[in-house]
Amino acid sequence: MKKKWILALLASVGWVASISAQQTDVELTGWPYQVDVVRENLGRFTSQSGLSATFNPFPSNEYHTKMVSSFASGTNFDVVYVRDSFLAEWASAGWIVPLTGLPGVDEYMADLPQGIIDQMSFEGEVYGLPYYSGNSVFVYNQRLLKQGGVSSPPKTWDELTKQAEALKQKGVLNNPIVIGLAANENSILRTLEIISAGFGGRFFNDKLEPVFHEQNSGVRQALAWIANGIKSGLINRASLSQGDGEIDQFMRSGTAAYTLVTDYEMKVLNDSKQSNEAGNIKNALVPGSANATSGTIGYVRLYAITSQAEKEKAWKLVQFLGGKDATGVYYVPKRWALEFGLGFSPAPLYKDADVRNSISGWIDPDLLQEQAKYAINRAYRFTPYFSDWETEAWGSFQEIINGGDADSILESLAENWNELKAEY
Amino acid sequence: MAKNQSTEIHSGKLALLFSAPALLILIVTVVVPIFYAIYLSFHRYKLKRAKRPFIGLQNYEKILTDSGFWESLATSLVFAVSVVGVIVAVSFFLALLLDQDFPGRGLLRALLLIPWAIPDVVNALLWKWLLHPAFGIMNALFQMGGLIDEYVAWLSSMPSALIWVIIAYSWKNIPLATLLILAGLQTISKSLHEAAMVEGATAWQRTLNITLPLLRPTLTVVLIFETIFALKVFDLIYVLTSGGPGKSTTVLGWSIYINTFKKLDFGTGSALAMILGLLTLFIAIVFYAFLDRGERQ
Repeated sequence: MKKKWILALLASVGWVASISAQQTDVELTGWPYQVDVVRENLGRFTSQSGLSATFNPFPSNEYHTKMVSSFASGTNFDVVYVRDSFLAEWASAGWIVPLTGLPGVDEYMADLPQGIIDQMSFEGEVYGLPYYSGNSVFVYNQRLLKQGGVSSPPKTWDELTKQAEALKQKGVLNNPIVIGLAANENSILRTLEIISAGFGGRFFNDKLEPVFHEQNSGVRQALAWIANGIKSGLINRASLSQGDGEIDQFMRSGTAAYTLVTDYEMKVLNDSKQSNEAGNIKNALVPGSANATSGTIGYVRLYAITSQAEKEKAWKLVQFLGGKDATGVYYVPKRWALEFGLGFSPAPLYKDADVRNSISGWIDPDLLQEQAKYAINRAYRFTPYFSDWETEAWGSFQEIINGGDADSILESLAENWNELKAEY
Repeated sequence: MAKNQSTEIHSGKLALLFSAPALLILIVTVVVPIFYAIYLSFHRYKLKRAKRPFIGLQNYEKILTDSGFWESLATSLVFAVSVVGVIVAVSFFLALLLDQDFPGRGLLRALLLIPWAIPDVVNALLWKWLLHPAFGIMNALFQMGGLIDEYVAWLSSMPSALIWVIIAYSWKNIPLATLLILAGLQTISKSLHEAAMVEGATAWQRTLNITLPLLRPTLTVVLIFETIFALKVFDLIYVLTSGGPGKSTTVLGWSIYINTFKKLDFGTGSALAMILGLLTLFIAIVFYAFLDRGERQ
């Protein structure tokens, strides 16, 4: 009798184990943006391919940390979301694999601009297809500018200072500019990269040596411009504690007139259900200086295949999500663009009438295309030690903006970069 | 005699058997992680690197020679001293008030518990909205009261960021301290106060010469708890300031988080945690010595 019970127990354990092993053909892991839509897309994938797929959302703020610790502890993933900023780290650790040799890769690459391909590559090999991509843009509130007697957006950072002074003097706003300077992944360093590019500066040269600390560097000019702006009140001091999502609130409520945002955020800014200033928020070229017409930074979020995945099945899912579905159209990228305003890269979508009509309602597509020409190369972000360095840098840059000794802080940051470079 | 000895051994074994599950859980969840953290602190253990060599005391040396560590230690101490001071002082007077007989005392005692019942992260988010630079009610109230001309970004400036973190933390932790002190007050016999009143002692003299000395054990416990809690503060910093502006609210707990979970440097993070643990232990020993000396006197 006892023996029978044990056999029954073992059989049921084996049955449960086999069921759970058969549950999913391919699993997608990413941050929890529009989880229901992702699951709907996966449903379409299953109906077209016959492969079952599930979505496993990880918290956005801790995505990098949780994924790295999971990879390191041997957790199995199939297809994962990857930010360009940690592509090199994951690729060099062997956690994700290149697409080299997979069927149809060349055709997809032919549809993508070289800048995007570079952003998805590590040591000459492409590691995924884009989930969404685009550039940061400069935005202004046309209504508030008009109130302040300003007829057109600024072309240089100095001109922006003068316009902000005019708005302040006429009592339109006390702090007309708000920019993301919070100490986190998505704020201060990105803002500094954009403004520095406008001053014709870079953080590192082509050999990945630091140049930001050099006298009169673009980065120093950007830091000085921000520090003066905060001191004079033209830049809202709240910028130092507000992340990119929080910056939107100032624009949506009409409590700021100028800011820098990622292109897709303009959809929310001009959505009457979410913004008091819908229709008033316009994009312009990021201001420049005597040294540069403009400058911006591009971004790519991509789908990549992990080293533990069954490559054939995983590639089918990556193609469906970042490329074409079984009907031969860029179904998922188009859906993200139409319904959520996410940036896209495949050339056919730029010509797609639905997409053009849709985005024209909240962003000027021609200016957006023009802005993309000024995107700077940020190869330094594709080093495995970049995330270590930037974590230390956030607070240090805030210290400089708050009046800290720029010389010693920047020297120390350059030294820290060189130490990490040597260590890795 | 032999029978007695056998019964003692038997009951000892039985006690061990009954406490074994709890001991096992303690060993797995407390003792093992502590020893593992000690082990990690002697290694260059970066999650992104395959090699994790033994490096002896190098992590400790790196920390102790880093000016950033001393700054975060100073910030932690300033924070701990400030919040413990505010919490003990306010709680003491609140407890004295709640120890009096007045209508609605029960309701007031229940209401007092509300901040304590709010989860730490919810409390932090609540304060973040109260202090919002564009829509926060604190700005609205201060402007209506004529204290400020325009809205202030409290959490982006120094020293206001640290001051508000201290206020938010104290608001959450005053109720527990008040309840502990109130319980201590209720153990003091009323007859002592009545006798002193007959002798003509004022309320202040009675507080100074009867209440405070007899509350010493309770106050010491409150001091120990609050100091330990304050030294390991993290949630509030995470939500409200992320250690900024600059590094002005970077306490040790935040440094441990940054090193361990942002830089994924488990070796340095563990060494920092060990230092914080030793510091907390040292403070607890000092307070206990103080309590012990008081009791002997």
